[in-house]
Amino acid sequence: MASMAEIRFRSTELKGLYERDFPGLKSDPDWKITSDPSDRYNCFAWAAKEKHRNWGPMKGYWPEACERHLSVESVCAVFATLGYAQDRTELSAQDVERVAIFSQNEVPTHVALQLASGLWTSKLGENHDIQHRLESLCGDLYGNVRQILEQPREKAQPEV
Amino acid sequence: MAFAGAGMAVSPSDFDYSPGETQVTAKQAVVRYRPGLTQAELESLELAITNWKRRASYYSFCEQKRAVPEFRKIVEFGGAAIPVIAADLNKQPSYLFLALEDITGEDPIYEGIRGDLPAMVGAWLQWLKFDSAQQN
Repeated sequence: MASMAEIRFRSTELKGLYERDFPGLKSDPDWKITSDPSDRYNCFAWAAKEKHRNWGPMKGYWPEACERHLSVESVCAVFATLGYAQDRTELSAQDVERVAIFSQNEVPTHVALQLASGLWTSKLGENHDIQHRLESLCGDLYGNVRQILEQPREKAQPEV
Repeated sequence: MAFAGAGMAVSPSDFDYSPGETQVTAKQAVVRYRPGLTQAELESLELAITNWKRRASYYSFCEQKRAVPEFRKIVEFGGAAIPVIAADLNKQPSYLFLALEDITGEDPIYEGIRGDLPAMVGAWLQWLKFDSAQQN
């Protein structure tokens, strides 16, 4: 069994690795790791509040009604089946739930889900879930936020 | 895993596969896809796999995993890479099976298992086993 000192060391080492790959996390006082790593679900599944399967147009679950093609439009179409729309309101994160679609060269790379606190939660691919500020994941790996969708929080699925 | 000396071809016995219902054996994989990798080539392939896995692990979509530069390096090894990939998949399920798809032009993953990584890897290992048996 690992000692508390070992656990703290591993946690620090892990945070260092993520901050190297996502430099924006270095200046994010709110970021933290919130789960164990898992390859059973990805960022898309996490944003859709599932943890038992990976979502994706090629080798993942994808709603039947949606075209199996990776584009910002197709990702928006999938989230539309979950109740999200592109209309932006000024309502607070306590009232609306938002998902942010990241893209690089117009190709979607990542999806993050906003928490009621206003912070965001992301599954880093096959790695850990983290809590973070939205801009902290912008950069070389995920590009920038391309689209934000929202729906009333009261209509959203409960978190898993 | 013990490998032959530098510059020597790797033999089937150098691959440490565990027996199992869905696992391909070294012999089965090598019969079909003779590796013929030198030690330097093998090290280069293993480095490409390690680096690809690290970066690709951040991506949720296969399209991006394929776009990581090391992926092309792995695929360029062609059939020689297959026993190494099979061994890696036997140890730990991963999306490295995407390289098998590009190398062989096959896709044994059917609709019902999409999204289930262990099942997708299992389908590939079964396919390799079947394909090797076909060659015997």
